[in-house]
Amino acid sequence: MLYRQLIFNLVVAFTLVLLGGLVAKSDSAGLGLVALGSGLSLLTLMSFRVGKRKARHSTTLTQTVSVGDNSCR
Amino acid sequence: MQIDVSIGFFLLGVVAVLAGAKIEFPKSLYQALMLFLMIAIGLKGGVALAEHASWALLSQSIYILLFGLLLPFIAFPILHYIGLFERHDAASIAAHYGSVSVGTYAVAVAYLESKNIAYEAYIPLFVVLLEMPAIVVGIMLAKPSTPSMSADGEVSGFSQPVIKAPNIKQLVLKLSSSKKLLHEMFFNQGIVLMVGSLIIGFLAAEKTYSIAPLFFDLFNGVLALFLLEMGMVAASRLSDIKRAGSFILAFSVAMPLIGGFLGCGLGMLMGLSTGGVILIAVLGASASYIAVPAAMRVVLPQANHSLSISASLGITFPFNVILGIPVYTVITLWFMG
Repeated sequence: MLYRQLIFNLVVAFTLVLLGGLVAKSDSAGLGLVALGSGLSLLTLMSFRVGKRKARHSTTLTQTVSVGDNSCR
Repeated sequence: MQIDVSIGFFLLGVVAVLAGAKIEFPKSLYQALMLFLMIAIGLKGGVALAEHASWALLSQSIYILLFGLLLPFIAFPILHYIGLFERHDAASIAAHYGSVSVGTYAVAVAYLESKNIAYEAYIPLFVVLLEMPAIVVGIMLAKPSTPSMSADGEVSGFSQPVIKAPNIKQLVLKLSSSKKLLHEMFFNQGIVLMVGSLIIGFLAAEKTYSIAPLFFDLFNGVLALFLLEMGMVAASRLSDIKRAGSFILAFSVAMPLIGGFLGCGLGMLMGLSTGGVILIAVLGASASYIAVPAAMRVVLPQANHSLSISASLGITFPFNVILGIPVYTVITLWFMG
């Protein structure tokens, strides 16, 4: 996940929580928005972290392979 | 605690699929329910139109058409520049979100009636008007990478990407040369049934009440059955959404809110009643899953149609039905006092 997607998702999540908090005073659907916003922010942060870890792992793997190639020569 | 009956049936459909229960819902019954809802909405609108026809409707219709043109232009940059979707995929999804969902409109009408909130009954006219502009904008936005089409609408190959602004003249030529697309735009089942029943309701006026026991009195019962099926369809799309990632989830929730807010503002600008403003907000928030997918399959065959349907049917429709409609109602009541 890119940084721009991370920011977009977090802005949407924050808006949902904020709007939900305001609506919750008049209708229980507001609580649903708060839950949805919280879930979205958690999901976004988790997928961003997993994506970053995968990218780091693949970079390390590439470096290991290239170092291995050099030692063979 | 009291829950809305329609939402209860929708949730039952979702739970049934998640629990692995085998509910055989005949495809022809789903089609019949959809036809019933379209005819009932059209008839109601036609009768109201006969009672309230005025020149003000013309200016309101122009506002609605402009609204339909605007929505895909908001959705497209989010999808293309933030979501990094291919141009044709972004254009196709944007077209879905610029158009409307008759199912969501039907739920909103039932919700307003349960809350005793009055609304302009001629709004089905706006539902029909909002079906088409998004398709045209979708084609326009996808244009640089759209495959060229022959006179009968067949795709003849991919044209070279051209980096220039879409040419309106070329677009009109392309639209007029594609019979299949024009047919999908103007003669899809939604347009034909709703416009047809709107005209019948308008011409028959009070005589329409002779068929009221079928089309008006049974409306909520049929809607409940329709939502049971929609709940099952939405739940079956969950795996596609998981694969698409969290961005599409955020977009499918953000776009209804943007459309809902804009619709709320437009409704107030048009001088509608509270119920009317809520319905325009719901129309702005809803995404098509019947008319636009059929048109996009013709005009953008290379786009990922499964993704568009999953977003509109698997996320936006449930969001609007369960949370969106009450939220737009509360927001409208805030603004209108």
